[in-house]
Amino acid sequence: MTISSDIPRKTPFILNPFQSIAGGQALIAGFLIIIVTSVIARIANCRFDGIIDTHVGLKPAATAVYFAEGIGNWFIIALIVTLSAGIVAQSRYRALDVFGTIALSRTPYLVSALVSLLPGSTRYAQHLSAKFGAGIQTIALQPSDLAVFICATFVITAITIFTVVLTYRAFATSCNAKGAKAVWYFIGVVIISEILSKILSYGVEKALG
Amino acid sequence: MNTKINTLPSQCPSCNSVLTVDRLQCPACSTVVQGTFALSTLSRLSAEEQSLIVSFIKASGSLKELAQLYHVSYPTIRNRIDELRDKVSRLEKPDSPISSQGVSDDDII
Repeated sequence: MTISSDIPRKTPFILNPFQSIAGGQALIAGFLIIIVTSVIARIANCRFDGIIDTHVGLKPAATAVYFAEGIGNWFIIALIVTLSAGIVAQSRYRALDVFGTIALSRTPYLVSALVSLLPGSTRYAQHLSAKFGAGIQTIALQPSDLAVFICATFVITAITIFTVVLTYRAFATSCNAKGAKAVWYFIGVVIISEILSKILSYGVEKALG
Repeated sequence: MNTKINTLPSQCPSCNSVLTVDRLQCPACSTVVQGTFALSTLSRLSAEEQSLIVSFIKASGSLKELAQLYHVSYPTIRNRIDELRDKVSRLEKPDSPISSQGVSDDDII
């Protein structure tokens, strides 16, 4: 009998890297990416104030807020999945895989933070924030700012959707969950995590300024 | 003598029932044994599934080693083994005409 040394993968690596990477490897890589994303988010004043939120042009916050949001968003959803995935998991699962794969699934937000560095997008976002009285001074716009802002918004929205898909893959692979029950469970997890991460973001901002 | 050994089919291509073996032959002396012999549970698995089980035994049941051998992550190989476990359980139930084509990747990941 010949031994095949490869299991055919259903999805390309970009759509489900967790078929190849999980556990400690994913945890280290994912955590480092979350830290780098938080540093860039601080520079770009890009806030991830919710597990599926990206906001640009808000009033600048304390450096610790950016890190608390980056780490907190990951930790909240990973903890909820670790504690509750038993209701949909078809295998025993390891917290290391859940935390690792979900950390890695946050990688696309690094691109969102980089996109937020575009000055035109930030200026237009600040212009909108000032217009709606978010405590920001009105600044002069340049002709291309609206176009840059629209492009950045499109890219960030696509990245957010992609991140949700990746997070689902991370959960499904690490917990061996599939089918409609797993999808509904995941929707519930995202909603609860979003509420908790909003509370965390609000609390941290209020405490640290 | 034809030395080519084909993969053993386990399911009837016409009605999907589980096949039995009714003739065995010694390739060295051509002795033939005739009768009705049931296929074992393992022989009703696909070649890929059988090779996975062999690899699992060779790795002394270490999923970590198996994941390295197959170049996949730990949860992916664990899910695959669990799918196989479920399939073997179904096959062991009497009158279970389950396909021997293997668990699809859709089921794995």
